Parts: sequence; structure tokens; C-alpha cells
Amino acid sequence: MKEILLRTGEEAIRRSMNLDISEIELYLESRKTLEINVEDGKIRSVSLSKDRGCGIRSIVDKRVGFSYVTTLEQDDIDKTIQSSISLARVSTPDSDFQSLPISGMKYTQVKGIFDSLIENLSSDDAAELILRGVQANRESLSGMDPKIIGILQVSNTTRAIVNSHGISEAMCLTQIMLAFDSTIRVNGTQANSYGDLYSCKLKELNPESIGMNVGIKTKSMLGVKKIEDGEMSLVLSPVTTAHLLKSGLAEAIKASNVQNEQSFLKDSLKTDIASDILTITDDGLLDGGISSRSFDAEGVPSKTNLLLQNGSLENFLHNSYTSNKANVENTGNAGRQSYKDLPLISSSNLVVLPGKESQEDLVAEVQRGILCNISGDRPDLLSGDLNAVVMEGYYIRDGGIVHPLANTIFSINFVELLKGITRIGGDSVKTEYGVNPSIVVEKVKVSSG
Amino acid sequence: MEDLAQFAIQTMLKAGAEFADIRIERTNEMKLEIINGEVKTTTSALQKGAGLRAFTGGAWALTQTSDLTQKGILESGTEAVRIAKLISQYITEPYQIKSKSYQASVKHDSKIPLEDVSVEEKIQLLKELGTRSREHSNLVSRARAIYQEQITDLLVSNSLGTVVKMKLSLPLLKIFAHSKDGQRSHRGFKIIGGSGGFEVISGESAYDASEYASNLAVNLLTSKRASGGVQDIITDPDLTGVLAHESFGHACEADNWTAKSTILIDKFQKKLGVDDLTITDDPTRKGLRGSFEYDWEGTKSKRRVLIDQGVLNELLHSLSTASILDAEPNGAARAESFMFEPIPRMGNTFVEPGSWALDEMISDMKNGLLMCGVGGGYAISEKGQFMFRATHGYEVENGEIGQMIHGASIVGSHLDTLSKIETIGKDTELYPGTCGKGYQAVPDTSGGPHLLLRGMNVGGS
Repeated sequence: MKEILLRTGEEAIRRSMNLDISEIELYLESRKTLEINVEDGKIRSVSLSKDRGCGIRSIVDKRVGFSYVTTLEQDDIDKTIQSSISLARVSTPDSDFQSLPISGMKYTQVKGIFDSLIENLSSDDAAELILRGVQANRESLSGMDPKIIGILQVSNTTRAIVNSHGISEAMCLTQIMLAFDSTIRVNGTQANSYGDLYSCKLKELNPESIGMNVGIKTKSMLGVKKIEDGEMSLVLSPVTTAHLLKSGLAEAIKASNVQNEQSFLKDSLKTDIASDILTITDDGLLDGGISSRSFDAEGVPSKTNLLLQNGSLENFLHNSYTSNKANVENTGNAGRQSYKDLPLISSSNLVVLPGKESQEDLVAEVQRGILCNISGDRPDLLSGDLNAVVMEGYYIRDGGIVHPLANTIFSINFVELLKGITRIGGDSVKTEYGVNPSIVVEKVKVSSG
Repeated sequence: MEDLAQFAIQTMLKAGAEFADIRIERTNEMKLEIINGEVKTTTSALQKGAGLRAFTGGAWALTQTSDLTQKGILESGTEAVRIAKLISQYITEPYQIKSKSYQASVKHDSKIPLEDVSVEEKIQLLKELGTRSREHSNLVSRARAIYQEQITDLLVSNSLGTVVKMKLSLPLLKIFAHSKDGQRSHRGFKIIGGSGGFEVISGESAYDASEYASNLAVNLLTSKRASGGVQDIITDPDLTGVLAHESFGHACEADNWTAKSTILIDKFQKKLGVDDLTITDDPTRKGLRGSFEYDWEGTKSKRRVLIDQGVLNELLHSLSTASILDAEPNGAARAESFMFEPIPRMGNTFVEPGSWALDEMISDMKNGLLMCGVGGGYAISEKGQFMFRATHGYEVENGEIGQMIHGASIVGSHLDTLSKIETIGKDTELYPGTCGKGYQAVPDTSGGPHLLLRGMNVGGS
């Protein structure tokens, strides 16, 4: 498939050479995804999608136009090139646009992001995997009649980038994701929990472990209670740490947001924005990283970029446009979810330098606080203010878990959260956002109502 | 295309499907973005292909193809049946798909078809709105306007005899104004849109939206961060809409019921709220962003009264959920595109107006917050929990509106919140939006009157 995508792209570039354009880029993708859905503990539906398409960026005198099409047929691609050129012609020339990336850069092959076992996984074997997890969840909630929702996604993606400056690169990626959500009802009250695992390697997937852990967490959520409002310690689980760093820090240090003055960290480069125990890299080359890739969404080689060193903000995340505008090195962070998107900026794998303690050790030191296992909220990009719902969490008193929480929010400015980190765990977990441990933050306002 | 659809269905039936359907789609999209008078983003898209579903032995399988030849359809249809048969061995409780069949050809009415308006005219509108924003106040530092359009030709056909052709036209306009005063900066925005032509998002409604966004951004410069804690609140129509949508609407989607995961599972036909509370989902209202006459399975849509005078009354069904739960399909299955499976979704969801004037409600609340605008939110039906952020609001002290605030959010549980609604305003407004669920985003509308809720948990400073 790599060869087909590269040939399709290179031929389209050749056909476009006689058109009145300055530069052109094609991002071609072929993605096969198998998805199995479980409802009430039973397989309900299966979807097998074969998504192929091409996103085309044309530049005419510093004016950019973008079009995509959901096929790879030559006729469709040629019409889409014409569309993107038409749109470029009505755009405003952007004096900050210098050039698409130019060939001649050195690429590093990333290990552990393609697994032929995932590529060749049959529908039958996939069904067996998810049902093993369902069974483990059911057994961990024996006698409680759990209602189990599950989803298994198996994807095999080939993507290629070809541009008129000689960039012509392709790569293959595989990914498997298994998630469970189980619900129980006991004496009229309902408890629920969720858990997932992403991996690029089939062998890293243990359905029984995921199903059982979600079951154990579900049981632990019985008997939710509110707590008295106040300022207290906050322990963030690895999953919540990952989510908050992705939605808070990574968003705020995108150079596009900084250059547009849309970030609460716009003036913070080379200043202390976090506790001195916090060091974070963005590692696009991480072995087996869920967001690893040998090149970014514009064909620029991936790197390992230091973001925070002992609390000091060392780098913003750049694509070719923002790095040219700021006249700094491109960090290789152009990102797009698929061929349907213009390349914007995205972190790859955010990796927090871990400590040594387990989550239990961290909790044991908390006098009064909460443990947040899951939160889906993000800070306001302009102010950094964060109100986050504890979607799943527990009250901690005198070093021990007391009870699960009901309707609880914690509120803090994101910079204060980063500065308030006092301890970092050694329990790092790999997620789609990176590799992150539990952390402890002091003096967080918590309300429960 | 109808011949190709029939070929697909016959292919799947011959291969052993008990039920089969196909959606053949061609969608053209465009997005234009202007920042401070400069055209920053221009994108277009052509999505074309077919989604084929086979059902047998209680198992569904979906495949997609962009190869709209008989060869492509044959391969895709055969694969769908193969997978459905394979999965059916794991099904312990098979069921049958039961529905009427429908034949229709429908379209969104447009006075000025989007295809008839040039890109240059669309850009001109955005530039004019940007100029108005920046001229509104010298505190407006950045004016951004986005135009989006989606024009879809969709054919839905199934083995029960349904053949429905739809032409959908959805324009959307988003206006953002950013204000700055020293180190303080804020953002105001307004979204307008519906189903129809260019008339939906141009003219006075666009100018009003621009003024609203600029006013909000500038006024927020003198606001203070909201205080958190348990408080009485009044939600404005925008927040009321998202409350109806996120906290009740999603919980009424019947796939939560077949999964037996919703917190409302044992509450059907039970009283959950005050007598005045009626929540409706009505995709048959014309001209709104969530309007459609037939759903993405070809079932005729209808007005659904989800909560009727406080009682949980009706669910939102796909063919699958209606068949499992032995209910009448009510045309609520929607899909983002042919790439996705149709699942129960809302269209236009709103709280029906009550009898209270806003000033009476403020006076009655006495102390609390008037919370306005939607800055984001979500609900988790399995936990029965939701969270919404307000774009702004006002403190209410001794029955009077006071200081403007920002940074407030509310968190609650579905059941608690229904019981906390005390009074319902007599005003009503509807707002266009886009709703995400299960990796799929579909256009929708939500709204209603002001609501007074007692003792809500508010996130703030």
C-alpha cells in the first residue's frame, strides 16, 4: 500500500506541474478499521471500514487552499487539485507563509508502531478477544449482573506525504483499542466505571486484565457521597494526568495559539510555569508510542522535544508555518487526524519524568484530599482557569480511601496546578496521549453538591 | 443510484441477510475562515460512497465503499453478510427487524441555494462581519468569522421496500470576537445556522450575531471569576437547551436502554420532574439545523415528547432499538456519513416554555447566579452525570442582577437536576449546534426558556 500511495501522490504532483501554482502537497491515507461493539455483554454490531482518501494543499503566491476527497481515483484527485487551487486564489496572501517543507531531512525509523499480528487479525479472533474481556468483567462482578458495554477497534493505516519540494515519505501503523464500561445496581443505587487500553502491539493487549480492572473499579464506585467543600490535596491518576497535560499544557504551548495570543502561556517561554520536580518531553519517536510516527503531518522528521525542564517551559510546539514565522527550529509537530484535515499542530507522546512512589504511597501521605481517576475537562485557553468534574474519584482522609465521590468538581488555574505539584509517582501508564504517572497537587478547591 | 441500491440489497439477501440496507451519499462541504479581514482558511471536500448493512441472527455488520460500481457494491455487500453471519454465532437473543417501509423524495427548502452563491460573496459576508466587530470597540483585538456549508444527496434503501431520497442543505456561521485590555483578554462568540439556503445565515441575523459576540467579549473584560459552591441558578435559553440535550436527551436515546446502562432504565413512565416540565425532540420543525423528515434508516421522523409534564414518556429509536424493545420506530437514527452506523440521536431538542417572566424568576431566586451561554459540556448516561460551562453570567443579589461573571460551570446528576427545576420561563430561544456521540458528529438544535434550579453545584474560583 505504501508504494501505491506514493505512486499516486507523485503522479498527481507531476500532473500538477503545468498548473499555475507555487507549491502543492498531497496527504494520502488508506485506513482499514474493524470495530466490534458489545451491548449488555453481547456482541451487537461489527463495522469494517476501508477509508481511503487524499487531502490536497495548494499554494498560489502565498495563498493557501485545501480540499479533500474520499477516494484515490485519478479523476477525483485531479478535480480536488483544481478545487484547492480555486480556493487558494480567493484567499488572502499570507506574508508569514514561507514554504512547504523541503526534502533532504534525515528520518528515524520508529520501532514498535506496526504489528503484523494486528494487521492480520481476523474478525473471529477479534470477537474472541473482546468476549474474553467481557467474561473477566462479569466474573469480577459475580452475582451483581453487570451491564457491560465494550468496544474493540483494530486499525491498520498507511499514510503518505508527497509535495512539490521532493518530500515523498510513507509509513504503516497498526493500533488496537479495547474499552469496557460496566454498570451495576445494588439496592436502587447505580455504580459505573470505564477503562481502556491503546496499543500498537497485539501482545500488549490483555483483555482479561482490562475487563477485570473495570469490574473492580465499578464495585468500588458503590455508595458515592458528597463531601464538605474546601481546599485540599488532589491526586490525579495517570489517565487524568495524561488528559490534563494534553488538553491543558499541549494546547497552550501550540505555537499557533501563542502567535495568535490565544494562550495563557503566550509569554512564558523560558520561565518557571511548574513545580521544579516536573520534567516533560514530547517524544514522537517513542518505541511503541501510540502517537509515535517517523514524520509529522507535513513530512518533517519526528523528534524528541524537551517541553518542561524542572518546571521551566523550554519549547513551544511548531509546524512549518509557525516555525518559519518565528524563525525557530521546526519541532515536527504538524498534526492532522486524517486526510480530511489541514495540518495544524499536535503533541505526539507527552512523557512525564516519573518519580518512584506507587499511587498507594502517594495517597498514604494525603491528610485530606481526593483521588481523581477520570476527568474529561480542560482549562480555558485564554485564562488557564479549570473547573474539572471528578467523573470517577474517591475521598481521601488520613492517608486512606474513604468513599467514592458524587457530583464533585475541583477548581484551579492550570498554572497553579502545575506549580502546586508536590509529588510524582512511578506508576507511569501508556495512553493515547503519552506516558504519564500519578501526581499530587496541593491546595486545590473542591466542591461537592 | 436506485438501481445500484436495489442491486446491493438483492446481493445481501441472496448471500443470506435477513435484513439489508444501503445509504449512498454524496456530500460537498466548504469552510471559509476570516481573521481580521484576511482569508485565513479555505477548504472544501467531496465525500462520496456507500454504507451497506447486513443483519442476520440478531447481528449487524456495516461495510463501506467509495467504489460505486456493481463490482464495488458486490464485494462490500458480500463482506457485510459474511461478517454478520460470523458474529451471529455469538448472539444469544436473536430478534427481527420490524418496521413499515417508506418511499419519499424530500429536501430542505432554500430561498437562496448555497450552490448559487459564489465563494467571493460568502467571503464578502465574513469580511463585513469582521469589520463590524472591530469597529464595535477598540477593545476588540481580533475578529474571526467562519462560514461552513454541507450539501448532501442521500439515498436510503432497505429490504423492507424503503426508498427515501434526501437533499440536505446546512449553512452555519460562527462569529468570534476577542477583546483585550492590558493583560485581560476574553472571547465572545455567537453561532447561527439552520437548514436551508444562504438566507439562513445572512442579513440582519448575521449582523445581530456579530454585535452579540463583540458586546460579550468587551463586557467580559469587566467581569470577575464566578464563586463556586452550591447555589441557586437560573439558566438562560442556551444553557437550558444544552441541559435538555446533554442531561436528558442523551439519556433517552434507546441504545442506552438496549445496553441496559442508563441511569433512567427503571424510570420509564415515571415522574421525574415538576408538572410544568416538558422536553421535546422535534426534527419535523422546518428550517432548524436538526430538521429532517426521514432519518438515516429511511424511517419517517416525528415529534417525540421525551418528558411529558414531568414524566419520562418516550425514547429515541433506531430500527434496531425499536425492534429489540418492541417499540414503534420514530425516526431518530442518524449517521455522520456513509462511513458510520446510524444510531439513535436527537434532532431539535428543547424545553417547552412555562409561565414565568424572567424578572419574576430573578426576584423569586433572590440570591444566586444567572448563567448564560454554552462554553462546552457533556453527559455520561451510564453515570447519570453531566457538566456544562457557561460563557458568562451575572450575580443575583436580593432579587437584582449584579456583577457580570465568567468561568462558571455546573455539574449534576440527571435525576437530581430534574427535581431541582422549580420554575420555567415563558420565553424561548433555539440555538444551532453539533452533537458528538460514539465518534460521530451530527448537526442539531437545542434551546428552551429560562429555568430556575435550586441548589446546583457550581464550579468557579
